[in-house]
Amino acid sequence: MFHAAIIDKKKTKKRISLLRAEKFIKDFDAGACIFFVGNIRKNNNNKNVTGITYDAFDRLVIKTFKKIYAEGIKKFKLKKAKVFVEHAKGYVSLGKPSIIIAVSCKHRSEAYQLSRYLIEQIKIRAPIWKKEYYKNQKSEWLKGTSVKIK
Amino acid sequence: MKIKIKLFGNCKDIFRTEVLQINFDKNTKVKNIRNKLIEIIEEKYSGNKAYKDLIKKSAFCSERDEIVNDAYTLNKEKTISIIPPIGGG
Repeated sequence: MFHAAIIDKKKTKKRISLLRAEKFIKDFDAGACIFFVGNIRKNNNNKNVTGITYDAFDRLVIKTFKKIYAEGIKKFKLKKAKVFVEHAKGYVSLGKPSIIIAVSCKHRSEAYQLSRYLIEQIKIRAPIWKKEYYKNQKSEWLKGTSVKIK
Repeated sequence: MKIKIKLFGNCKDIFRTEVLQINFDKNTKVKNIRNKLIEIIEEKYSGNKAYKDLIKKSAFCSERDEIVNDAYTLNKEKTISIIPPIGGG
């Protein structure tokens, strides 16, 4: 079972939520649940960060999340896993979450593996962009990684 | 033919819009679109190297949500998206 969503502040009052994640991945057959939460960090490249605006190509992000999930299931030979991924869009202030990845599996080793695989792949493959805002009132788009072209 | 170019990330700030509409010849290729965007930067920003590099490093995405290369031809499609280098999470 898989859930993926982009939570856009402009379109919804909803925020990405650990409670929703916990509810979704709950499974009496799963002995391990991993919650990864990516928060806005105070310091990046020696700059005082106050917040980040995320832009996203929503449709392609969801397609990419689904693809990464399917790859992970195959890679780690998982018969049963529940995965919940939500990413914020719009402005997120310091200390607030920008992404939640929740995974439930039968055993802990596979839950850790799948969770790690998902976040590492999302970072380099999902079409999401960050504009950092700093204490000195300046802001900049982060450089990022070029998408691989076949 | 008029082609809509959807912009994301830094490209929205550079071109000060979310969608550009530009006329191209029929059967235009992604390469032509990339060159046109570089041409606009040459004119608007006196060839700002960082902006031009961003366009050079960007990928393009078809209406079918597939990443396409510079040789890709837009036959019936009227919309393409530019995907600058990414970095979510």
